[in-house]
Amino acid sequence: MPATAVAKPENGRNKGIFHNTAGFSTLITVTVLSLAWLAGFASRLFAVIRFESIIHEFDPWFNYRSTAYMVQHGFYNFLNWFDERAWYPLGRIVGGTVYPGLMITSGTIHWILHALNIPIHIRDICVFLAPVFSGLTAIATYLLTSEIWSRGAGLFAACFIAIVPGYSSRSVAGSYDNEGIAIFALQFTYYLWLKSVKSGSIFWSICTALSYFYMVSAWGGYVFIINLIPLHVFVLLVMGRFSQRLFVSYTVFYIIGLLLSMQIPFVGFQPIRTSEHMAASGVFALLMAVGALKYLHSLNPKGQWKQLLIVGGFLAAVAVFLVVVLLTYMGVIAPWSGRFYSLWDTAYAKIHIPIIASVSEHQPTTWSSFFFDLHVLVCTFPVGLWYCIKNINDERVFVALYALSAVYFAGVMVRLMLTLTPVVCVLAGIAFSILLDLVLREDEMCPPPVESEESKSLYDKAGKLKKRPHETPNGASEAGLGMNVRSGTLIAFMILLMLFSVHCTWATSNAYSSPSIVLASYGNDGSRRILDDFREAYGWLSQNTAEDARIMSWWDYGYQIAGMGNRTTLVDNNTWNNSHIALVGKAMASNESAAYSIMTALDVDYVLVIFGGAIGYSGDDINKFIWMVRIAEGEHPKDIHEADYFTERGEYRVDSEASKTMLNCLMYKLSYYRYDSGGSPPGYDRTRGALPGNRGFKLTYLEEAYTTEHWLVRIYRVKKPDEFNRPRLPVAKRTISTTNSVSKKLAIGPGTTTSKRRKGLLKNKPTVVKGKKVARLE
Amino acid sequence: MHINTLSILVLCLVGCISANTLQGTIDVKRLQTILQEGLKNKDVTSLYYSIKGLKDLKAPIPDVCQDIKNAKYDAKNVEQSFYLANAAALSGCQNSLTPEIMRTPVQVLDKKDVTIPELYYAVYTLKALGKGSIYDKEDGLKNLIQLLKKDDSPANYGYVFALCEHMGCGAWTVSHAEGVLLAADESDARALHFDGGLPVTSMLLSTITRSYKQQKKPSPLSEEQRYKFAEYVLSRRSVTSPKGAALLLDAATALADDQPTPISIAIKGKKYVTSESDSIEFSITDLLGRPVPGLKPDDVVAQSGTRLADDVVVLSKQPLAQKPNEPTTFVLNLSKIKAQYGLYKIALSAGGKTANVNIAVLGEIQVSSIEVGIGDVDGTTSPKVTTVTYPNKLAEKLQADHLQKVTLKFTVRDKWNKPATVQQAFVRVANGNDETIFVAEPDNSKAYKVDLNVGSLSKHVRAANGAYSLSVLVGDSAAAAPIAWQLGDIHFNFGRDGNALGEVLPKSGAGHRGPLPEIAHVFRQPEPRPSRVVSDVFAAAAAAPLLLLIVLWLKLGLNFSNFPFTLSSLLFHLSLGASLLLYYVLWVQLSMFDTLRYLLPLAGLTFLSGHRLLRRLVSNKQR
Amino acid sequence: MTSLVSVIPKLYQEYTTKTPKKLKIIDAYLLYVFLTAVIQFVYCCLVGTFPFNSFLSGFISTVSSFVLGVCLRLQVNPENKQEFQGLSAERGFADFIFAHLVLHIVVVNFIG
Repeated sequence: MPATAVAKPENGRNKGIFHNTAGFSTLITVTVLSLAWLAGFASRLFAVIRFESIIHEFDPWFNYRSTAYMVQHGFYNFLNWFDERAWYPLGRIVGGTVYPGLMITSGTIHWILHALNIPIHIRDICVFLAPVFSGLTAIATYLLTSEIWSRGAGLFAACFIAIVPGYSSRSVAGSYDNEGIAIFALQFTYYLWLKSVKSGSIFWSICTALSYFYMVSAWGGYVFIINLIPLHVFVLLVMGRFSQRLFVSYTVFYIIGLLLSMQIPFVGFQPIRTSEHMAASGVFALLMAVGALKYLHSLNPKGQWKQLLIVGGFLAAVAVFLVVVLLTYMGVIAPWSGRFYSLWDTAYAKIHIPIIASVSEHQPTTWSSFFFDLHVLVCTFPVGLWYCIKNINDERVFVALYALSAVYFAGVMVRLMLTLTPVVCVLAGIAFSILLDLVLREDEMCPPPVESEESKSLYDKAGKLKKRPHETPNGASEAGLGMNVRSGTLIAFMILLMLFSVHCTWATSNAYSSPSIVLASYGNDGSRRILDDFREAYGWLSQNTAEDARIMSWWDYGYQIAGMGNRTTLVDNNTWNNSHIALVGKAMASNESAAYSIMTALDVDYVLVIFGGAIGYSGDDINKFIWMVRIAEGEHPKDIHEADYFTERGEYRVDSEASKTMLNCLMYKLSYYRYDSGGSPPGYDRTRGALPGNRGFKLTYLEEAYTTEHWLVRIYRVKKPDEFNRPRLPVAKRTISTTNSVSKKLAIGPGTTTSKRRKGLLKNKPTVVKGKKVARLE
Repeated sequence: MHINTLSILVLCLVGCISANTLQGTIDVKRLQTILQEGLKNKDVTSLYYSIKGLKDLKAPIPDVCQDIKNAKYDAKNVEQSFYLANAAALSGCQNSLTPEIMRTPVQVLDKKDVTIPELYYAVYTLKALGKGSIYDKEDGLKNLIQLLKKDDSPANYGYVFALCEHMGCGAWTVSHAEGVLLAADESDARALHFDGGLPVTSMLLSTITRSYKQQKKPSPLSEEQRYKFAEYVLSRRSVTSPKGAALLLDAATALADDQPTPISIAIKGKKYVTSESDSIEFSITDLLGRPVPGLKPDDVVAQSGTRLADDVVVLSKQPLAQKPNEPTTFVLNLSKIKAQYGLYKIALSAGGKTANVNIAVLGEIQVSSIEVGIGDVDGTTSPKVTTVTYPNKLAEKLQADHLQKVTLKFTVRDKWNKPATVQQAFVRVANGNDETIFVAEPDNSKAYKVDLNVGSLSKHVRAANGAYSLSVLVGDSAAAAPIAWQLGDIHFNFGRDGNALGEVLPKSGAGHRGPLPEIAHVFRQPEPRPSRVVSDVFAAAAAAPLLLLIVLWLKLGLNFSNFPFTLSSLLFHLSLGASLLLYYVLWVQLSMFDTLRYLLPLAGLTFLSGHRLLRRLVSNKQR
Repeated sequence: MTSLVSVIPKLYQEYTTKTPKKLKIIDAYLLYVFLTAVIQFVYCCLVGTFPFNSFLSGFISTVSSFVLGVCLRLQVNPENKQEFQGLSAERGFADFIFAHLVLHIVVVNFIG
């Protein structure tokens, strides 16, 4: 990206002319930040340029749908919205099961723009929200980093976060998801927290709480904040760094933040009921206890109070811990949820919650994806961490904890790479800043390092003064490097940074800019074809099916069917009801007649399957099928057995060697029914590279309703009970059983004569052969 | 309870005899009591038949003259006259009759359109009164034949034959009897009877046999007809009225006296052999339970005996011994085969007739001990085995949950302690009235084994956790004593299977038409709120510290001396108060958005004025 | 134990003599808030917490008033001047007012 390429040298120069004037440096800061914003915004537009201004993937479709609902009906109606089109026949209370921050944000923007008479469709706001917020994230990161280290490091960090693939993966245009705004809220909350710890001001604490409130309203990841900040406080306590500033900032933040977080309907009373939030309240109680002891100590600062303080603090910590454990056992506090457990024990989800394990984002992260998402930063951020720990103060303790925990979580789940990215940018920014500081300082011999430190201290707030004497000799001792070494290093790092920006641009454009609604394929001659099968199918649904038709599909496509097809779905990406999903999985995994009884029980009208065999699309239902089986087996262990779907050697295949159960299950039949495309021989499955083992079969209970151009989406209609090709019975042979009783006794009056009696049936009636007629008498 | 039913079933099976002999006799004694009861009835019909029946049985007839004298009858009805007159004649009470009884029969005889039954009744009434010979033989027969031509039902033939007996035209009877016999209806290919039922059959049989005897002709009945008529008579043996009894007796006597008489072979007493009693008694009689004339004891032979299970012949030509003092009872000694229990078919012949009889040789079975093992379904751990000996119960209450299975192993042994297989071996799991029965299958070494998979058991017993009684049932049709062994209780725990989601699904719509009951949404009931008084008290209590605060502040000497009366301070306090007031309005009615709209300017004002005020305070202090 | 008993009057004496009047005013306020919280807690133990949000908002509002009061006291206390650089007592008071404004709008929203 040209913008970043510009930003880097400027950044370097920034250091060189640092001492000139404060105003000049402010100008540079503003310029760099706005350029970073611009670069970040521009690099996220690939999706719009390549495809069109469209909402991406799965969850964004739901967010978009709810935003549109909220804009149309107002916020309070949105909170009370009962969506009967999802989770048929259960329905879903959307207002109470969603983090409304995203919708409120875009709704507010929409409202402001319309108040200013700028007519803009809500969809465009939704599409461009994430790129805009990436700029805000860059600014928040800048503020955070300058709070921790220096403004130069902050500028580096801001530039990094603007373009780093780990973050842009979640915030390209059209990716209208919670994470897009949540990272901004996360960074900003941390910035405000550090600010309040530094100053000890109630005002900043309140701001932290408000920012935390925004985070709570935006993303479930707020739990990360409410655990990390108490951890920070606790570590500071253990390190003996208790101060009244810390007391003020944490207690105010905690109690106001607690109250605020309970305002979100989805969160409700969880902050005081679940274990995930208990660390925060425990630390609150501990801090109160320590504060009280300190106060008593200050009243009478003599004698054994020191020991008493330590012992009392320790006892308070133990007591708080025991109380929390006890309450958990008594059931007042809910134990950790399964999703939370899976963070500690990576195998937990695989065993107990297949639905979590089935999502690719929840798999453990590989090293290659670390490098792919962070590139050079992954190598440099330990340097920044080391410097932070070396020159420790209250804020740097925080960033160290942040880095360590985020690295752990990112290792557990691919998805949590997102929380790692900001701190990596911060620390890498610090590392680069230190490096350039070292390398460039020699260029201007006249201003000694001390002055640069002094100029830095202009911007650093209180609490830094004590450290200076220690830092100065440190910097001076390392300053003795030769000129060639300096320029060599400088050039090498410039090249590295350039490579980094090239990589970021490439990764964002190639890996993260596909809307996954519209697919692109490249022909042999390099020409680009657009496969628009999904929208074709959803369009067909919205035009050709009854208004209240119920569509059964795997949950991945629930939001899209609801958003684009505007039809009722059985399950969707909000996986709140595992047993319902398991029932759909069971229907897909059963044979046709068993599936039919499930489908009639659920009132299904249409079944939608994704089949990528014709174009080699690997994310189709057959490839996801084994998860459907696992989830179904979890709920119906008697009917579904995972082993039945594998061959005897434990392979998952679809060709003639596949198991009988596999070849006869509904998902298989719906995927391969009438399939004759896919190259030679006809009916070849290009995704799995095999010829399907069961072909030319007929469907009894369903009929094909629609298949898109590239066979990608196939829709089937479920027949009504009177439509099957049942054998026809002649009218005479049809019997209707009326009652269950075998015989009846009728009271016959005494006057009734035999001839009037109805002919009855005698059981065990003897067969009588009439005798011969007596010979006629002559 | 089950065992009893089983045994009855078994015995029933054993007792069935299939052959070309009769399988029973008419219970003469029972008929006699019916007849004697009938005497007490003052109805002329039953009176007549009772007397007639008793006469046939040669049983003593009490003095019924008084009854006859007082008998109420319809004097116009020739049939009633017939009954009364004949009853009187049979009991020798003619003197009790009034001469009026003569009138109706005489009128009948003079009637133009007389029917054959009327003729019969009239003639026999007169005959009973001693005026029998007034009817001309040749002429009479011609008339009767004319009448028969109008209505040739078997009943009419019967009356005509009876009249012929009186008129002495037995030869005519003999010439027509065979044709009439052919007119009998055959039911189920085993019984013959005439249209009209027992009265007609009885009358025809008795008149025909009597006429043939009178004419000294051999009986016209073929052997087959004889047996089939006898079958019919046997099938009617459960009559209850004196008329029926008399007619039955009449017919039976006619058949039994007609040589060669039909033979009945039946098992007398028990139908099985055990180790204690090794013989079976048969009774071989005629239809009336009398000894068969001309049957020598040597003629009664068990021709062959075969085991039903494998058709092995176990005995042949074994003669039966006649039981002393009981000429109809023959004893077959089966000590040779009592060792091998099972079902046997014995072909028994008597007087050239052969009957097949199924009998059972009952053995003993025993189950000495049983192994109850509880282990994991997947067999990862070795099961915990408890051995119980018969007839003890399980010492402790066993526990099994849905991941385990209960294995029961036992061996059925015969008297010689060799393993045996039986027809029925079950394990019963019961809880109150709910019971489930599992079949135990023998393996190659004849050891019976049942695996109760607790998880899959749940759907049989409605998944109710709790204690179930376990019992082992062993039975065989050839076993003398079946075993019902209460093993004791076992506690099943079915885990969460009972409320799995799959059961929520309706079990297909069959059997249920019409709308299901509407499901009304139930809102959560609000918990009871405390009473007004309590909440008021606590509201006051919560407000009380405010008083304390004021007191303390006054004590500390709080004052407003420092209060600067400037514009900014006034504005500040006013706007702050306004904000708090706004909060109150929010609580009462406003929505959050409205509040924020009003709050923003207020907050700005508060901020500016507060800022000014505080700055002034600071500067004052510094000065 | 005896030392503790002997210490308490000493502590009280220290407090009455050494603490400035402004702080005593705040301490009185703290005591008031604390007692209110205690009464609310007693209510919840005795009667129940049925409208849970109302109880919570009441209780948390007292707790946070207490916390804010403590913070104000810390910042106003001249002994802590060193700790809170750049924060005058007046700034502390302004923050205190601001915090209460934020707090009570939330409490009112939550009380239902």
